[in-house]
Amino acid sequence: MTPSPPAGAGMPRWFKIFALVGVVLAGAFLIAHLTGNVPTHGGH
Amino acid sequence: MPMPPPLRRIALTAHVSTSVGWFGAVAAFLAVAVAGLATGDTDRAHGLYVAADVMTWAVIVPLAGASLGTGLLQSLGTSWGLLRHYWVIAKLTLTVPATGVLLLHTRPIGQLADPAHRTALAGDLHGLRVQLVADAAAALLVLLSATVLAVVKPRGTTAYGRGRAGAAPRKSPVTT
Repeated sequence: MTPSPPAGAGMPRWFKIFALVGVVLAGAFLIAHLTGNVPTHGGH
Repeated sequence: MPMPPPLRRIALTAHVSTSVGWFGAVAAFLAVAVAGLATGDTDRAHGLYVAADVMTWAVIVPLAGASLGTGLLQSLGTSWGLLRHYWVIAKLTLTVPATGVLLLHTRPIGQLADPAHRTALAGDLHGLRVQLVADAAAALLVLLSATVLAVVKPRGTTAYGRGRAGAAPRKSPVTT
């Protein structure tokens, strides 16, 4: 088991990067779908 | 609510099996999607998309649901918890949207497998065929990330987790 950080430690850096990448990818996914730039979902 | 050790081992085995199975099934789906995109034979492409449709409904969707369900059981039934460790939260935020997007994308797969669209495979539905490959590749990446998180278990306890750890004696967790 990975030891936990000491009490009072904040959000770890890896999680901040993970969240930032997740937000960017989710935003790109939403924008692509909203602008219709994906050849999908019956769009033929 | 902690599970007794025998039940915990059964749940862990089920979670690892379904998660690895999900990854493998998506890899097989990607191979079929690439073959469907690469072939110039409309009949062969249609046959491949029928296979992809069967794989989706008979293997991928049930394994995704089972992996998510057993993962939740593992979290809630052990001292890892659902919101105590950042790696568990990260894994959850990967697999829940992945399952949602998978269910959304079953419709285009069905469209490609539909015999009525056989003649459109080479023309109007080409974009959909490209999308199927891209979706499967993205899904593999997401599942690989979840596997890495489960194996490495990067450190980091949430404020909620620290509060819980202070309130109760810590037991050795067993999960993926």
